[in-house]
Amino acid sequence: MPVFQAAWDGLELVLAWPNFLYPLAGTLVAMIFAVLPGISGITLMALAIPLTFQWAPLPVLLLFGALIGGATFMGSVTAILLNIPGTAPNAATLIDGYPMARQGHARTALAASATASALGSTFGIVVLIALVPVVTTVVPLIGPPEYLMLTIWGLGTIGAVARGSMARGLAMAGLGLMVSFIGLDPISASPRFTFGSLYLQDGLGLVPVFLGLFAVAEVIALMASGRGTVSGKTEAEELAGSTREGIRAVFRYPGLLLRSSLIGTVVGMIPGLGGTVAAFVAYGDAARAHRADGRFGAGDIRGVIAPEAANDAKDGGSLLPTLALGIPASAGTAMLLGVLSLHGIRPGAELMTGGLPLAFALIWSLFLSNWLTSVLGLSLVRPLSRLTLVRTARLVPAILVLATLGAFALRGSVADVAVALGFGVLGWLMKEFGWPRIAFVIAFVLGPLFEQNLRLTLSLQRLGRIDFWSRPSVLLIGGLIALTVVLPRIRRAHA
Amino acid sequence: MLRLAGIAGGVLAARPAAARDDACIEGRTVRWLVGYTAGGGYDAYARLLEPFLEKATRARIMIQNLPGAAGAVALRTLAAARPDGLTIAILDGPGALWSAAANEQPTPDLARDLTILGRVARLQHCLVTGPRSGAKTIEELVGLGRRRRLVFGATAPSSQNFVTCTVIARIFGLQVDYVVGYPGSRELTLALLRGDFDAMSLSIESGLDAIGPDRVIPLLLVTPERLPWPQLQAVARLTGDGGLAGRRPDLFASEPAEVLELGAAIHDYLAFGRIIAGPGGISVALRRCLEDALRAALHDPGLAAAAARAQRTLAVADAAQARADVDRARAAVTRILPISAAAARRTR
Repeated sequence: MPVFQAAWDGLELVLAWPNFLYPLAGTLVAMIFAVLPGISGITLMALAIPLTFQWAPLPVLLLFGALIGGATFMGSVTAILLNIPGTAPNAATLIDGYPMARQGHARTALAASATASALGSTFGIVVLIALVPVVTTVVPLIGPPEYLMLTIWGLGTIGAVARGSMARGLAMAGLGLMVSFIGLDPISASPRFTFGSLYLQDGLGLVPVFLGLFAVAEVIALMASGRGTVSGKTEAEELAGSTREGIRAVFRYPGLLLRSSLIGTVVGMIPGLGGTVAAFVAYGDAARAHRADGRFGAGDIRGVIAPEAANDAKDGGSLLPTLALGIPASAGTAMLLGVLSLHGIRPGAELMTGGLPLAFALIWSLFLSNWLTSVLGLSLVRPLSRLTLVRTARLVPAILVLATLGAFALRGSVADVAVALGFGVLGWLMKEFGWPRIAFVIAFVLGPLFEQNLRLTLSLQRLGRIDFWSRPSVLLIGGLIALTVVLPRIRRAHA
Repeated sequence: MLRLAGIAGGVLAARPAAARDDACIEGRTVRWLVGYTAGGGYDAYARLLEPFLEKATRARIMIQNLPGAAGAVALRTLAAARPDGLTIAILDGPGALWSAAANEQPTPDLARDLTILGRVARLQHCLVTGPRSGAKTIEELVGLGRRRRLVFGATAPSSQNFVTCTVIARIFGLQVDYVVGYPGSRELTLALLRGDFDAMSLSIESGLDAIGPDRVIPLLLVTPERLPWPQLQAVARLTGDGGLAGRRPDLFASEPAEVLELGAAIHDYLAFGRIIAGPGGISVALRRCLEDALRAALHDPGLAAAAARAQRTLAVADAAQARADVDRARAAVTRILPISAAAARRTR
């Protein structure tokens, strides 16, 4: 069946009465719950499985597509307004989003985030549709050597985000790498830096660490600063920026939007990487590309656009191997695959030929929910931005409660709360004494992937299964690294 | 002081009725631990069974994913829970036994520290290859292995896919190098399709989607039983009726007796399967009540229909049978541990 005919049939399925109610309901539920840190689309999907057990496959696909898409943007709302990442990928958004809110530009940041999310997801879905016919050829071309090069590219951005002191940036990156190595060795399974603790065997979770480094640290900073409100203003009229300004900002940087969406889509396609890597790699890339005229880390709108576009674009990318090969590329799509299986739908060749309209119904549901969330988000910009006018004395306990709940909700572990509080103190010290938290975070996110793919690449090279230096994709990414990381440094040094 | 005494009195009065050991769990909330992330095989089985167990117990079942340390976090949490019937778990039986035998970490003893209530499914593995290996049957792979060293892939040296591969390599006399360190079975499957290695062992239920022409090619089933799926009907089985062990002794490097012995050991190890257990120390009356409820849920025709729709096999066993399987699985682990440990040392 031609792809476009199947896409049309899928759209008709979604828009038919009462089918479109499922994406609508899924989106609204996801939007409401995703504002709570630690509650992601995956949590909602897990909760929805028993409820949908007796449903026909189509409504299930429509509902779950919306749960994936609806939760992605909303996590950025608390990131921008309160410095609390709703989900792990939103930690990249708060680096510039929260400083914008502090400067009274919350509306602009929220609107830019909503617009970048919608356009990023559209890009991801367009690529998904375009690659459906050739997916079985494309996905297997990307292996550990390419993952390794991508992580090197990501780590190469640390210099750009260090802002001022390269030595401090590298020191923080080193610390981030060390912390990321806590846990069991991925090959020998011997414990590293665990001090005999079972909790540490799995390493430190991204969410508690991020909540600590940003949300809890901000609580301490707000208390120490004596600042009356987050924005320093008390009346809505005093707030600068607008929804229109945020939307315009996204269209002012089309290159950035496309590049970040592309990063998100490609990273989304690769099993094991996910939204956090996509958001941070896109953020680092933006910071590096606009280093000369950027204020990254201090409230640059491009620091909001890049991670949000990448984070939403990855959803389309991650559906590609899931639907075509039956190999999920993210935790969300792994859950989706489980649900498909419970309803007797087998991804792979069967779904991609005869069942293609059903696959497209899922894709359209994801698309609709992404847009619906962004449109609703845009309409809520004004009331949401008023959160930055709430007095610190009232806001601080609320942030602490949200951060604590978010850390606890992830695994129901009190130790996660302790980690969040510990990293809160560390984050505040980093902020107070000018040690870049973002360098720590990028290394912490990419460290395990770097190690794992370095070791796999070395094993495969040693056993003669690959020739690292003759892989076109490795050379291509290597060329990109040279162009974007190394060459500008040589030029600057020469100048 | 009086206030404190009042609070303490209130807490005592609010203790669950089931804790008195003379009542079952009707109307209560049961915490069902899953030691892996939502969306995986264990989680899928738990969610498949949940409504039927709720029906049988008339209790509310709350699934709680407690991933960590390859299921050890949930295992330890279960062992430390109160024996009131309000905490149960679905466990990776072979993984728990292997972990205890290999002394990887202090692991609760399944027979001593837990109460086994039943089994929902066995683990079934299949040796598979990809489109780039050049082999389409086990005979062709063995032929390939006689001409050159083969490379097998696995997630970790203590994983079931690694253990299964090492036993297969031993009985066929294959010289094998291992690439380990793939984070999960989906990454491993993708690596096979890419041609990172020649073959791997795949859990059938999690890998059934990937089987197909020019994709994942099944070579050898490590189970004596016939499996219901059409895509596996023509695949050779190691042991059992019409198995390779009896039919093609020329393929093996081991003596026929050793092939049968190791074939039975790997089967017993995997077949111990996905078990459901509570903490140790549950009273006899409560244990019987839980066992009966679980038996009713496992034999519910609705569960069989749901499992068939989801292409998940059920191999249910009541508590007595599952407990009897512990010793057999433990003996199997003792037999195959040295083989896998030697391969793991070479790999590191």
